Amino acid sequence: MRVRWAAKGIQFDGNAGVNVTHTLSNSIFDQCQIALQNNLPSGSVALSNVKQCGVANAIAGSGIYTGTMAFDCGIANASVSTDHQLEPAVAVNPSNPTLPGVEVPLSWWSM
Amino acid sequence: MVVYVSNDAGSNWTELSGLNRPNASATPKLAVGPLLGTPLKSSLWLSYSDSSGARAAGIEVRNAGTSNMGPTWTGPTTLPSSGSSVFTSITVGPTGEVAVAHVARSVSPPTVYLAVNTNGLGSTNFLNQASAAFALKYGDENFPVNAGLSMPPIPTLDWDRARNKLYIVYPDRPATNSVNDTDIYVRYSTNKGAAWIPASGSNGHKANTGAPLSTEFHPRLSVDQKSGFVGVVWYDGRQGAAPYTNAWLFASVSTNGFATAQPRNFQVNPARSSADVAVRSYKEYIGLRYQSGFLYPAWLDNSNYKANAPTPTNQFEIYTSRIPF
Repeated sequence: MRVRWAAKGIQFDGNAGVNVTHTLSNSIFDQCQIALQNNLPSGSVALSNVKQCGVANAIAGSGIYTGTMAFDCGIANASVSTDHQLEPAVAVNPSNPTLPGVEVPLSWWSM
Repeated sequence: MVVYVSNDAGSNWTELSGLNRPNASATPKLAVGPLLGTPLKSSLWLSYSDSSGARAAGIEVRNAGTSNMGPTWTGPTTLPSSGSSVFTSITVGPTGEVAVAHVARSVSPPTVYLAVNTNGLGSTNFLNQASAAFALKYGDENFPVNAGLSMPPIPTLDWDRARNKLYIVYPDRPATNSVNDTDIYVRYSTNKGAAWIPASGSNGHKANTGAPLSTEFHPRLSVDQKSGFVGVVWYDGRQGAAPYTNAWLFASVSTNGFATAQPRNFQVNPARSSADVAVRSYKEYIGLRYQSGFLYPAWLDNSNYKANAPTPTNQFEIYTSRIPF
């Protein structure tokens, strides 16, 4: 599940004394105000492979949860070198941007 | 300096001749214009600096392929008020007009200038837009976040062609006596730089929301030509403490064309980079494209966030990201 631009990505509510474990898995929250609103006074939420990017408040509420919401804005190495790598530039093919069309011409030298 | 062109996504490159290979040139920037006329033609523009100052040159693009470029470059033209300018930014407008921003650093105060060629390839005449002379509150000064080295204020332009809005971003101090405190300012113009919002003489719309006394620097701005959303990225020292040598990559996206300031900021990399190791500087290096709903920044990073940096791990790597927005 991918949730983008939500004020609240997902909310769990429950009654006191109801001990149920919910699982939130294989999800990413982009640019949300709150990713997870956890209002479970007795139960809990288990997070499994849940990621966030640009989320203002990852987990709100006083409920119990396990696991983490990993930070993932899709960061990748544009190059790997044993020397300093400098001066990146980015170009995207506007006619086909859905492919991994990032071009990163770069130069590197010792400083 | 040589310009190369590729027609196969970078697999093969061919030199674009006729530029006379200017000597002692630096900091080249390229911009491509829209397809116009019948048959459809575009333009490729280059800005750079040399001992004469900032220059701009353009060439026609008739079709894909180097054989259909040209026939000759227009210019290069030395831009007015650019004798001490090193860093340029260039963009092409909806009817092929060209704007180049540069910062004159030896004048007092250092000033961002915008030169516009309203006739594109039909002219070599670049004129300063008087209303776009943005006086800065710092110039060549050293900042701890950049390893105590110079961190020049550099403008970046982009043109929203569908909505005819020309944007400029640059760093500046909020006040002349601010110490280690710089912010990211954005302005836009709907009449090719003749007038700006906010107007010259005031601070621009701030892009960053960082607390005072933090250093935000080297911004880049890019417009998603489909949505009109405006993306900005920069190095940000807001989470640092004395001696303020750490920086993180931050970003923001304005969904209303910067009609309002300070769109929500978000952190692209949770791990810090540090220029305090063996005097390594960010120089002016950072890149950004915003295309079809995705931000593509590229930046210098020695956080070793991916945990795959070669030894020694404190050397700068180039990281990139694909951020949906």
